[in-house]
Order: sequence, then C-alpha cells, then structure tokens
Amino acid sequence: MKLYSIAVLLKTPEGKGKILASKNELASFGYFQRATVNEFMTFTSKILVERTATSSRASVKEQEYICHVFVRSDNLSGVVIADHEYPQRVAHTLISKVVEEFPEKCPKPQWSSVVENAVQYPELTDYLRKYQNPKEADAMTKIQSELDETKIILHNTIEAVLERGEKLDDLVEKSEGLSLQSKTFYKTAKKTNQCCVIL
Amino acid sequence: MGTPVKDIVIPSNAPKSLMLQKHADYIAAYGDKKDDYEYVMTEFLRMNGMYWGLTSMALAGQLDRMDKSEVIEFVQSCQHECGGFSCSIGHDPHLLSTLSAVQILTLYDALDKVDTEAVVKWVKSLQQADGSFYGDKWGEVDTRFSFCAVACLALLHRLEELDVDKAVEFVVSCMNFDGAFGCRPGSESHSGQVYCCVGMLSVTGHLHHINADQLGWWLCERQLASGGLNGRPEKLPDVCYSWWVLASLKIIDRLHWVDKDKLVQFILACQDDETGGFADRPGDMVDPFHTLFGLAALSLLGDATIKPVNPVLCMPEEVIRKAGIKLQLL
Amino acid sequence: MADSRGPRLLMDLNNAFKRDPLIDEYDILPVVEPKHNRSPFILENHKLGVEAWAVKVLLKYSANRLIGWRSRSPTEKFIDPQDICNLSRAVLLFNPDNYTAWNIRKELIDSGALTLSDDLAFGALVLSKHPKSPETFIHRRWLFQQLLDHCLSSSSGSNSSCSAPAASNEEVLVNMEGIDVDVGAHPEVGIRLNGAFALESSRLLKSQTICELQVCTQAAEKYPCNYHAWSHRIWIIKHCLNCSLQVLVSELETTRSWTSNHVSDHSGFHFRQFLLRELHNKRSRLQSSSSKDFTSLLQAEMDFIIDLIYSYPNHEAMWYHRRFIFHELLKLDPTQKRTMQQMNTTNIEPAFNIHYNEPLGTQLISQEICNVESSKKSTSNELDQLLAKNYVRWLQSL
Repeated sequence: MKLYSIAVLLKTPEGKGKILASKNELASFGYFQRATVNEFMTFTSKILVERTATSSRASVKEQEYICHVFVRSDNLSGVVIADHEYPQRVAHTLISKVVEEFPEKCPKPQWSSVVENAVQYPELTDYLRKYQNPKEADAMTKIQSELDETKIILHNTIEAVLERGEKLDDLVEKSEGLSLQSKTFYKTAKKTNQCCVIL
Repeated sequence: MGTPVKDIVIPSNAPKSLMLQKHADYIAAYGDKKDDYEYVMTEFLRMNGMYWGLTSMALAGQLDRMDKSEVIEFVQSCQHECGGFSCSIGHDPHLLSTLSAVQILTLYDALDKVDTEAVVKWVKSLQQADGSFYGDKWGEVDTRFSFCAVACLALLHRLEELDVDKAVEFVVSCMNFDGAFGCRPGSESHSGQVYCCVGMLSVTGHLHHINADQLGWWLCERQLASGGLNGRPEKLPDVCYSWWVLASLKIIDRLHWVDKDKLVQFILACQDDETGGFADRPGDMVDPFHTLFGLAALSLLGDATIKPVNPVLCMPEEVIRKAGIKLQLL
Repeated sequence: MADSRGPRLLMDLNNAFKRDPLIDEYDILPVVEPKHNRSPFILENHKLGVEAWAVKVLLKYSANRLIGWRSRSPTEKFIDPQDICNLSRAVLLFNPDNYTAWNIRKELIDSGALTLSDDLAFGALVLSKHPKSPETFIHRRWLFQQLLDHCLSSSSGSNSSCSAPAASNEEVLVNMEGIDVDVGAHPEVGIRLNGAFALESSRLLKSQTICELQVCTQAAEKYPCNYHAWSHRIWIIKHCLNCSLQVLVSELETTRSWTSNHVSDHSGFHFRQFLLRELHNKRSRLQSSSSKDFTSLLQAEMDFIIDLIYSYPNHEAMWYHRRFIFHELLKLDPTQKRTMQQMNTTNIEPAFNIHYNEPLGTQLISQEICNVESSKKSTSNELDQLLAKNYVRWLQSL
C-alpha cells in the first residue's frame, strides 16, 4: 500500500481550489514521469476540492489510485492520494489531523492572501513517510470511532464527480497548471490492453 | 464502505445486444488498416492472431470472407525444417505458434498442405523425462506447452506418439491445494493455466485426476459483482477469462455454477459499437484476441447466433466432429 | 518504405549506451512529432528517455533488419555480431516479448559474442520498463541455466566423486546475509579442484542469484500480482538455491513485511505458501538445525494473517492465504495437531466447547468456523462479511 500525496487546500469563495501546502511522494514513478505526475496530483486535488460540497467527505477511484477528499465547514480542505490497498479510514483520519493542525502553521485570516503552495508545513513530509505504514502510524485503532465511514461518498471515476456537461478532457486542455508535456502525456496515454497473452 | 472492490462498473450506455456482423467486419478488415509499427510490435503473435481472427470468423459463420490460399501459404512458409512453426516468417519455431498453425489448417481441412510427420517428430522431441514439455529447443517448461503438445497431436490423430502417462503425471503435479493449477509445480493457481491443464487432461482422457467440486468452486469465485470473471483473486475482470474460466467449467460440468445472465451482460458491454470487436473491459480498445474469446464465451453461454464452440480446443464443434476428434468431458 | 532516419537513431541509441553503460531505467517520452534541432534521446542521471516518434522509427528499422537477417534475406547476408547485439537491444527495449530476438541473443552468448552478466544486466533494464514481460523472464531462466551448467560441468569434470548430493552439503553452507548459493556440489570443493573457471562460474552464480531476488522484488513492486516475477522467484529458489533450509527461512522472514504492505497481492502470499510447503518437506531438519518446529511456524503464519485480515478488511487475497494455512494445519499428524489445539484454546470463547469425541480434524474445522463467526460480528462491512462467509463455506466443504 502506498501514499502518494497530501495537500491542504482552501475552497475559495469563488469555489476555486487553492493549494496552501502540499507534499508528494514520487519515488515510485518513472524518472521521466515524475514532473507530469506531480502536476496531475495538484490538478486532481484542486478539481476534487472544487466539486466536493462544504462539510463533506468523498473517496474517488481513478484507475489504480484513490483520492480522498474532505472539505471542512470553514472550507479548509485536505486531499490524500493513495493506492487501492491503503485503508480509506486511515486516509481520512490523516486528512482530519492535517486540517486540524494547519491553522497553527497559518492562521485563518491569511488563507486567502498567501501565495499558492507557499505555507511552511514541514511535518507533511514526516506524515507522508510515517503513514506509509498505517500500523506504525498508530492510526488503525485509536481514531476508529471518530470517523463515520458511512458518510464518505464513493465515486468510481473522476468523471463521476464532474458537474453536468463538464468533461475531464476539456478541463485538462484548459488547465494552466499542466505543462504541454503533461497534456500530451494525458492524450497519448490512451488505455491499451496490457493483457494476459496466454495462447 | 471500506476499500473499494477491485471491479468495474458497467456504464449505462454500454452495448446490451450482440453485434455479430460488426465483429465479422472488424476482423475481416483487421489486416488492412494496421500501420507498420503496430505490425512489427505484434509480429511475435502473428500466427496466434490469425487463429483468433479465423476462428472468430468461423464462429460467426463467415470464414469464406477470408483469403484461404493466402492464409495457407503464410502457414506453410512458417514451417521450419525441424517441423515446428514460427509466429511469422523469419522468427523461430515455438509450440505456441505450432498449435495455432495446426488449428488453422484443421479449420480449413488443409493439414495435407504441410509436413505433418515433421510436426509430430518435433513435438515429440520436446517432451522431457518428467513428462513436461519444452516450448522450443531452449528449454522453458510450462503447463501451457503440455496443452499445446497434446492438442497438436490430437488434431493430427497421433497422440499415442507421446508418453501420455508421464505427460499427465507432470500436469497433475502442478495442481495446488485449491484444486487449480499453475505453470509449474508449486506455482500459483491461474485461470489461464487451469484451462490448459484441464484441456490437457480432457484431450488425454484423464479428467478423473480433477476434483471437480473443488476446482469448480475456485473457478466460480472468479466471478465479480459486475458479472465479469477474473483470472486470480483481486484482479480486474477481463473478457478473455470469460473463456478460460468458462471453458474449464464446461469441461468439468460445472458451467451452471456461474451467474450466466450477469456474465453475458458483462461480455456484451465489452463490445465497441462503433468499430466492432471486443475489449478486455468496457470502454477499452478492442483486439482480435478478446474478440474471439468474447464470441466463444457467448457461444458456450448458449447464444444461438454464434456457432457452437468446442470448449477444449476453442474451435467450431462441427470442425472437431468432422475431424473425428474425441475429447473427454465430465 | 524504408525510413532513412532508422540507421541514425540506432547509432544514437548505441552511443547513449556507450556514453553511459550504467543506464538503469528508460522510458518513452510523449513527443509524437520530431522537433527541429533536438535529439530525441535524453540521458540524465543514468536514465534514458526516448521520444515516442523515434521509438516507432527505431523499432521498425531494427526489427526489420534483425528478422530480415534471421530469415537470411539476400540483402542481409552478414552482419557483425556486435551489430546484431545492438539491433536486438533496440528491438527488445521496446518489444520485450519478441522471443526470436531473445533467441538471437542466446546464440550470441553460445558463440561468445555476448557475456551472461551483460545480458542479465540488460534484461534487468528491460524489466524496469516492462516488469511483467514473460519472455524476458523466460530468457533469464535460460541464462541462469547456463550459469548452473557451467558450475556443474566444471566441478564434476575433473573429479565426479566430489558432486555429492545437494542435501548433504546444505548444512555446511555459510550464511551470507541469510542467503547462499548451493550449486549442487560443494562449491568450495569445486573451486579447489577446477581452478579459475569453476571459481569464476561459482562466484558469478552466487552474486547473480542474490541480485536476481532483488530484480524479482522490484518487478513485483512495479506491477501488482506479478505472476511472472513470483514464479520466476520460485524457479530461482528451486534451481539456483536448491531450496536450502537457510534460504527458505530467510525468504520467509524477508517477504513477511512485503506481504503485509501488499495485502491484495495474492502472488506474494502464494510465494509464502510455496516456502511453507518446502519447509514442511524439510520439517525434521528444520527442527534439528534451528530448533524451530514447523507447527509453530504455521501457527505463527495463521496469527499473522488473521491480524492482517482484521487490520485491512476487504481483501480476498488474505482470505485465500488463510485457507491454505488452515489446510496445512489440518494435514499435520495428530500429535502436532494436539499441540496446536492447546495453543488455540487460549483465545477462543468458553462457549465453544471442544468435543473430544469428534475426530480431531472436524474439531479444528468447527473451532475455526467459530473463530470466524465471532469476529464477523465486529464488522459491518458487506464485502468483508461475504469474504468471511465464503471462507466458512469453504471450511464446511472440507
């Protein structure tokens, strides 16, 4: 099981996702893919925060990844990107913890004015490392009762989160955060069947 | 809900009825539209690819649309001096492409167009003291090759040339505690390998070695909520496993253990209603491999518009009957 | 139509490998059209990137030349072995299941134009990009078979009486971080008697085998449920390490944390099943040499999987592993079973009394069913309930 990314975001009054602090773990990706993966993690985190209602939690499947998102009542939000094996409960617990702790690093009045992704929150690196093994992170038993898992909305694809008429292809194309290389990568990475050749 | 299940959700707009004519058109045009890069990329599968395409056409009752003489000429040109066939011209002979070649020739009733004596000799030469088979002269051992060897010789009516008891002994030694089979002794159970081993025991008439209830159980547990079948625990469903799993269940008389309606729904959803052909999963790119196994599985599930398929050799029943080949079924 | 850019791209690729022989990763860069004044190859940090358009041109050119030469087409009469080696490299980097290209490399090794270690390194590079390529693993098994043959022929060549059966030598092996290579005959004897060649083959086999386990782990990490990587690992343990007791024990130890971090990977759990079955075959020697008894090893595995199942719900792979362990526990002879039962009674609820008049197997089954039923109550999860139900049905079928 793997944790790839933690991000703290603000859902702005205009409904935009703004990254306040984030940390990605890219070592398991191919050397030449890391920049693209990095951009897509940011892109996805923003899209999800923008399309998740205030005071709600969701977990969204996208191929081999699952993105967990929480938008708190004050619109401070968190996104964790993990793989299929990573326990959903632990991912959401981690989001809660980070969102709770964040105002100590950057008080609420500054959220809308700080520069994107510029808040110093070095502990994110530690969390990303420590939570790779949920058992060591000691989150398995302790916080079990605090989180009502039945309230987490599940989506089968990112497309399912989008609003009526919206298309992921268009969002990628329009995005300012994605480089040309990332956009080309997205277009060329059409799903091919890497299947079992038995006979 | 905890961790989401490894499965897919069938989109509401996925195809719900069989588009047989589209599939036949897709296969008939397959050879023409490929660019040369793709051709090079798949050349190591050319002979198998031809078998997939031609059998799809035969099951659709449209084999006459294919250029028979061109196919036979290609197959002939792939036979090597040793007797084995390669996947394509300039490549090396291998049991996998040899079985495909023999299947194609049987389909066309054209076995007399090649040196079958040499095929028999070559296949025989690949059997080892422990009963296993090499895939070619370089010595890789796999239960897939055991199936290829006996299937080849059965189609050539020369099964007695092999040490069948030893061959069976090796395959049985690859059975696991769950009743399923792997590629070598001690290897993990895998639906594709199960098909090869069950097929091998059927061809040789040794199905009594199988614990049908136990194996049937393991195979049925491959069905997921979407209706599709996977090849191993916690893998995604895939149309080709509809064939490997279903054919094995048919051979051991446990076909009625799966939810047929849901499986049919899954297979139909893997069709591409624009291009024709089947993909591994709904929405993916189609190819001849999944097209054959989609059609063959639907045939086993009783679709009357597709010709009945033989579960052991994955060829039309009428061809197997005409060739006079007897296969054991439980 | 032949593309005139082919020869140039092949030369560039060859130069990249000449400039950096330590390339350990490569990838296709999403650039579909050539850009003016820019090389389609990027080499940094021992990583090679090739633009997509160039891959197409390069592969077409190299495959046509290589296979053309193979089929003895009149235009390709003679190509220098080094060029054949380079052509097959260009083909296999992007088309790793082209088995004929691997066979050509086998012939290059037979003729001495390519070394076993260079080809092992090349295959490892291919696996970094194509971690489940079946033909790459098949070729590696052939390479290891060559290494084994060299060792065996050189040690038995001068004095065949030294090739004692593997089992009797096993205990003598020195533990090298838990893993050592048994080449059938005692390697030290082989070295003394056969001089440099045997020494070299035996050392090479030893170091390559240790690396190979790492190659398998990396491939398993890159592609989940990697059938080819794990069945290759089993082959290596059997053929190159002779299933020696030390290796089995050390592998059981090292894959424990791997599986607990990859709880849906049935191939990983199956590998432990392979190890446990081999340890079962060697249980008397296990007892005498390490004072570990097989029954407690199995019981520990059961505790391990139960803990994982309840920590990470919803994974069929772990329930299947539990089936295997229970199946093995049932197979143990009656005296061993009794010990196990005593160990078990401590954690079952007093309400479930053991009926001593029943045959022991039946008692164990009903006890296991009770264990599952009682913990089932604590989960409200639908899938987990289903997995538990399937397990109980399986138990009832025994």
